[in-house]
Amino acid sequence: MRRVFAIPALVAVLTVAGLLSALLFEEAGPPISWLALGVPLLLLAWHLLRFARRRRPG
Amino acid sequence: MKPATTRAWAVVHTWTSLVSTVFMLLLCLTGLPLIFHHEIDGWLGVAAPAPLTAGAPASVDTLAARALADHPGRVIQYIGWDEHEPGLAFVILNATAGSHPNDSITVNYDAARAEKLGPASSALMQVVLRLHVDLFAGLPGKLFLGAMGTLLVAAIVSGVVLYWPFTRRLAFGTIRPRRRIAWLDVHNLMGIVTATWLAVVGLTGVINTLSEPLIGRWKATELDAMTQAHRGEPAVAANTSLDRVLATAREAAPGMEAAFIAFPGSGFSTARHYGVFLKGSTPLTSKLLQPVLLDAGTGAVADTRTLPWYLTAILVSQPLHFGDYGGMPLKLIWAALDIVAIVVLGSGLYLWWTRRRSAGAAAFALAEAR
Repeated sequence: MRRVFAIPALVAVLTVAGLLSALLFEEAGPPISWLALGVPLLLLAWHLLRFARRRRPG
Repeated sequence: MKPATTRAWAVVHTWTSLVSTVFMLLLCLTGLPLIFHHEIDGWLGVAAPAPLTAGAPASVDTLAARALADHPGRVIQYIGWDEHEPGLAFVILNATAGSHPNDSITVNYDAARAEKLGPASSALMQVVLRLHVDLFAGLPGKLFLGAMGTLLVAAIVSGVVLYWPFTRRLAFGTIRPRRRIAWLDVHNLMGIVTATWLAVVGLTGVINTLSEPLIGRWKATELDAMTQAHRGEPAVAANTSLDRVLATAREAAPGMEAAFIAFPGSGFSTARHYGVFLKGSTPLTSKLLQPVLLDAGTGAVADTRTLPWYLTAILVSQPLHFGDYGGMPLKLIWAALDIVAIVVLGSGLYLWWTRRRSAGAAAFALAEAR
């Protein structure tokens, strides 16, 4: 359970932090939200690329 | 998790998704251009605000007079100031002060010169917006989409529960090569990394579908109580200067800026009061509106009190639904997450359809994951 949900839980925490930071903090908020909300997208892109590369080796 | 428990959650996931998928696809597809409505309207030649002229904004009385002269046969329901574009004012006009918002037109004005800039949004984006908000079916359409949004949240929760039995033998992000299994793994991966975002956007969307009845409740209770003290006094015809109304309202709510003026008889005022709604200046306090009610005849403050929690909840939930509160990068992230959500919906539909044709494939995938 802990192993399966470790990364999803981290993504969830980052998502909430990202959503709230731009709402609560005027200066630093938006850049923090871009970084935090970018994580799920980067994670996804990385795993999809890895899958695509393994399917067509070389 | 016992197999019977997994099966039960799978039934919940399948049916909450199936019932709502078509509407969720529509909402994701129409939501995508709506993220960029400001930019798209700009490209379509609409609502390009004139460059800011230095100096104080024009008199609101002049602005109102211009707007009325520009639109014969209509009356003003609201005058407001754009949240993102300083110097941009919008005027909402309708056949009568009490006419339904769906029949209104919104026109942008240069706040400094009181000059008409044009309609606030293109016809295309208005159609997209109506499809997204109420399917052109008014309040029943909104509430229906709210119900579909609730099903979406149930589908997300059940999906997160099912993530465990389906991936517990796999490293995070594993995508197995066989075609249907690959789509299952992609569905699980995309679903789990966007679950929180989609749940927030879904829930805030559902909250927004309740705005009409909640505003009605506010008018029947709070607004009614705010005007209680002045009931029975003879109504004076509205002849007060709007600039004076605005200045008086600002004095009643120090440190705040006007967001919009609701004219007498419109949705956010009474027949004999102006409602001036003021906002704070930080991203959060700009969502916490303070209404000041002023007698339309004398211009005197009738009452002011903070909005009840349920209207504040709607206002705070709106940026979390629109994604318009963190600049262009946040909009792009919103769009990317929206596209991922579309793939999750589409792959879910595909998985359901192929399972119908090859019964037991899901059980097979599950067995393989064990």
